[in-house]
Amino acid sequence: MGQKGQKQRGSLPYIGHEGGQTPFHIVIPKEPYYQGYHARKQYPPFSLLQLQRMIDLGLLNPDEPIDLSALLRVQTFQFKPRHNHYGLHLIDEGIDIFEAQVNLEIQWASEPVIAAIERLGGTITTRFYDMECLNYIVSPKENFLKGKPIPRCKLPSNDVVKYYTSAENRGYLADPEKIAEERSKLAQKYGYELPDLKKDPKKDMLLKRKDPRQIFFHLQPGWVVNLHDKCILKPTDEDLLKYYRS
Amino acid sequence: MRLIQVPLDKSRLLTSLSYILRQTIRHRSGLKSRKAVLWDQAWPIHEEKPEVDEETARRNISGLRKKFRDRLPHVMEPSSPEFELHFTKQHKMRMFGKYGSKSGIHPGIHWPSKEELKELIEEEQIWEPSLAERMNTVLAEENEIRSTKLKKEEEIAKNLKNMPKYIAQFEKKLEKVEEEEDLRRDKQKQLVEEAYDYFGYKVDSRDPRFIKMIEEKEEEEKRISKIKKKEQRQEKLLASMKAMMEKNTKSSPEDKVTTK
Repeated sequence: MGQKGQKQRGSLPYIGHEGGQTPFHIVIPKEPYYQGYHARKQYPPFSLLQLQRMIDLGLLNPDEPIDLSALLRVQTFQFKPRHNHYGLHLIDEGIDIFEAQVNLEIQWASEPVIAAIERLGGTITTRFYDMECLNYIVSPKENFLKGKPIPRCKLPSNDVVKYYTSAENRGYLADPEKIAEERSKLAQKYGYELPDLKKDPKKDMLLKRKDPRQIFFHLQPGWVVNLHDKCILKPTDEDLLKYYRS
Repeated sequence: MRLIQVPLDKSRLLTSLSYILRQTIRHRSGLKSRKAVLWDQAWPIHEEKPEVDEETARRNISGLRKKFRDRLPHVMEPSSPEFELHFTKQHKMRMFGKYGSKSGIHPGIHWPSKEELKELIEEEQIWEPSLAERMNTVLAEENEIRSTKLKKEEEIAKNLKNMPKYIAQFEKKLEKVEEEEDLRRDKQKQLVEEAYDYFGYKVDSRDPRFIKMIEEKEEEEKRISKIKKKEQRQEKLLASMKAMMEKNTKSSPEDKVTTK
């Protein structure tokens, strides 16, 4: 291995050792704003431009609800739960050319983005997934092959619980009536006429929502998908059903 | 040949024996299970395939042992358990996920048993509070932060009332310092002038002659002040003596009376 001595034997002093002098990381005091930095939730940006492009190229079907698994199926961006990626942050890049009517489920969105989607008659919900569910969503096939039942989604943790319960952010735990109020308020603020969802031909699709415990459309927590037999195994025990529903 | 007698350590012997026993038991159990094709008796046995005919056997030119050949994608046969690991729940689930009902595993393995479910629920009650509880904790934290901030702001407002007083004090202090500085400067100027008078030419204040002059002057002043003090003391003494004398002269007639 190169040279003789310390380098060869891998017995070099540890990184940051300054030959006995008090190391840099001890001399410089801790910064309070870095507290819990390693554990903070990350939301990698995903723009309206990207979304529009996916729809235009036929990679995404706007006639069906678009959620995280639908976006991940396109495979045009990186998403790594192991890097503390807790979902996607929909940013306003391409807000002026966005023209699709969609039922979107995203993890983080700002006010103008919400307005841009609702102006075109679409709906948006912000949704929290815990790490176990995210791992399942990112690689469903591997998890099906492992025979893991579909996990029951946990409630949002304390640092984001306020975001997902507020109607302003269209949180999935917010009261639907309050959301309707906020929709009209936002339309007044940005000066557009809010399209009536009840008269929309796509009404059923636009109002389709998942249960707070559910992570895939058409599949319930606790079910086991077997790819070999091409069947779904569902628990029948009442206690189990109660647990997965609660 | 000499033999060395080693004292027998009973505890050590026991531990080693138990280890060997455990190993053999494990091995035995493995052997037993290898004989049994089924993992779970409750699950129906998959149909045993007829023995391979000669032709297919001849076509198998890979020369792989059965358990390795079973893993090939075009064969995909579930292998029978061999090691302790193969009896874990995780591996059974994996086998079911890969081979489906062909694996001969009871699908009930996917979900927790009654006891496990009970434990799970108990654990969740501790670690997964309800939405309302979460909101309450968050709001309580926010309230605490707000109240501490308000408290601090109030304290600042209270202390700011004393601010003009402190500023006046500080300005007074500055004035005093300035005055002292002026006095010192005047004195220095005077000394320089005196030195000019003394020497007849300009002398720098750092010059040794100047310093010597100042020292001499100081000594002189000291001497004068000493003399003055002495005179004052003497005057005082004289004054006091005079007062005594006067007192004596006034009180003398009475004294005479008393002495008589």
